[in-house]
Amino acid sequence: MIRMPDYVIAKDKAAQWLAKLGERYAVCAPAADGISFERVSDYGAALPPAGNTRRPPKEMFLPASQTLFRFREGEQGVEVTAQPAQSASAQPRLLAGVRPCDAAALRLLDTVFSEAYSGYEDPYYRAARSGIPVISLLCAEPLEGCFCGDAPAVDLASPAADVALTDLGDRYFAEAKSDTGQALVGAGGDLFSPASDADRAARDQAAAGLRQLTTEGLPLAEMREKLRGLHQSPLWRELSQKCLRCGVCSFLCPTCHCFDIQDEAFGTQGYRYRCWDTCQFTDFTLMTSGENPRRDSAERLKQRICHKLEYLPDRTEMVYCVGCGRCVRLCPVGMDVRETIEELAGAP
Amino acid sequence: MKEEAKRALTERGAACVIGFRQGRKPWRVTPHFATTPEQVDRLVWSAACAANLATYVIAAPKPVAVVLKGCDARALVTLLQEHQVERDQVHIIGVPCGGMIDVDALEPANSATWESVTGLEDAAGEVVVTARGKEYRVPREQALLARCRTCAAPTPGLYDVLIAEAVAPGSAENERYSRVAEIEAMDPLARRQYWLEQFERCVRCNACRNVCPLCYCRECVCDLREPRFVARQPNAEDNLLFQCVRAWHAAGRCIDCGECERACPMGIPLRELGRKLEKELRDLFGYEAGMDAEAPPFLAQFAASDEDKSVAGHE
Repeated sequence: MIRMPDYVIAKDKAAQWLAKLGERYAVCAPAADGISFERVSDYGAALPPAGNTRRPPKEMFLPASQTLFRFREGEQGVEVTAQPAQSASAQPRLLAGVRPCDAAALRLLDTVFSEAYSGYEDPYYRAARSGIPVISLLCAEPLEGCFCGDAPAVDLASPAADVALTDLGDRYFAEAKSDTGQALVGAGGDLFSPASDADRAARDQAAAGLRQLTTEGLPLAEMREKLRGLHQSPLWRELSQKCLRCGVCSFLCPTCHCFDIQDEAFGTQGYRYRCWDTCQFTDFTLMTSGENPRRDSAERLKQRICHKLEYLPDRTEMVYCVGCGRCVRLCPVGMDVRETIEELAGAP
Repeated sequence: MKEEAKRALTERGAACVIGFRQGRKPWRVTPHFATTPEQVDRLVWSAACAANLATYVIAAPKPVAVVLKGCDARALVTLLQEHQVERDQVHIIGVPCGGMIDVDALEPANSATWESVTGLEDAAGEVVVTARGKEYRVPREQALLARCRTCAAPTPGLYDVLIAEAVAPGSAENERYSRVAEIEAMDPLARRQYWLEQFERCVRCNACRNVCPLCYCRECVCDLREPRFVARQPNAEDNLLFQCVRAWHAAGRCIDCGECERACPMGIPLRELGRKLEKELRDLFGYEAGMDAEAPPFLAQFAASDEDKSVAGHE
């Protein structure tokens, strides 16, 4: 493989670069309120040095709610109109300021929605996602609860993005990791200059520093084998006792991707939509007969943990936890997935 | 507290003591269910114990012992009024509360939410945060959760044992409805717009509902598919409807423990809905929820002297 060159760009020039990209793309970045990714109006504020949005960028491609098609009763029977994921005339999006954890999570989502995974490619996800470039930015410091250093899918030095930015104080290190990334850097023209070996060393040092702060020694990759023997463990009950079965941990997880499909009908017309759903809700597995195979919090916790650390790794060879820490920080009763994993890892 | 908890297990026959244990950091706590004296030893108490443990009482094995603050005890009073739990099945370890610290909102520079925080000390008049080798001091009053600043009952009114001296309500109690008054003063369309904007953010994770000690319905009307009242998908209108259903169902019951607002990952000011109804009840009927376990529930009360003829007619 031909190695793409690495670049640096002065920090005070980054806004100019993003503004240039804004001519072609709808540039989306972490909004000032810290809630979600939104279209940028102030390019100078598009790259916050640290922190992460409460809602992960997955919602750009798997929205909390999305219309699939509309239907109406016409003269010739039921007429169905497809609902495009994005109108053809809209500017394509570009995501900037994506954290390495979330960038990795997008790659994991690409896998589950791909044909290679299930024999069926999700057209709505593909339409929203394909051709959307991602510019990542390494965090200057982690949030409380971050443990990306333990996540096998996260490469802090060279995250899964088209352009990977690393804050080097007065400048960003920019690695173009794809042809698209190369074009994005090219659009910046002489705002960029080639990186030196010293810059590369500084980038590696920044990544190593963050890795050290976010490494807790959780055996995420080893859990796959471990969990196989724990399906009947009494630990699930114990660990889930305080769980209130809300959807915070899964809705705000960057890799959780389960959805429900529902119809909204008004008289003779309506629409079908899909919206986020979660294994933590009581009715997630409720069947029409009234039977519910996952009856309690213990069964639901087992599903959440095993899905990320056992079932999906079995199918994809990838661990579906990126250590973003959202579930740790936002759980109303302080359920800490790191503790959960440690308890399970230490079980006999 | 540990002594009383052990006594509850050994002498009062409690199947379980519900309290708090320390989390990953000294300033993080999490609910703890102790069934043995060894597990009781992990119990802690601090100004981080904001969660309302009354939420766990209905489902807990009985008899149960539970650590309750002033607001939590008011929630339990409502549960007793509604016969969701019997008084002799709950052993209340009451804790007078000086107010809970909003750790996540601690400034300066969000330092408290960052991994760089190495210490958090709750001194008498100040909260001291140590981050990046530097000390930040925040006046305690400012560091409190908003709900705690206007708390009317910091000391449990109902308990079996009280483990410290009673605490008097703070001076800000008269500011309790100041935000409600601001929202009331809005033009109706502006007010609707205000709430719709708030509920744009809602992802319908149901944390507000599930954390609520009084939302104990086995099946929530908002989860029903047939008939469907509230759409499954999050959209501002249905999110607002969902929350209005909750507010009305909690009218005369909500004790403003503020857990809904604390649990909301999107920072929606949910308490204001409950407090609006609370204010109406106070003004119209002089009623405050969660104060008297012997009294019938608010909606099961009437007075023959009520000026509303439809009520008086049933004398």
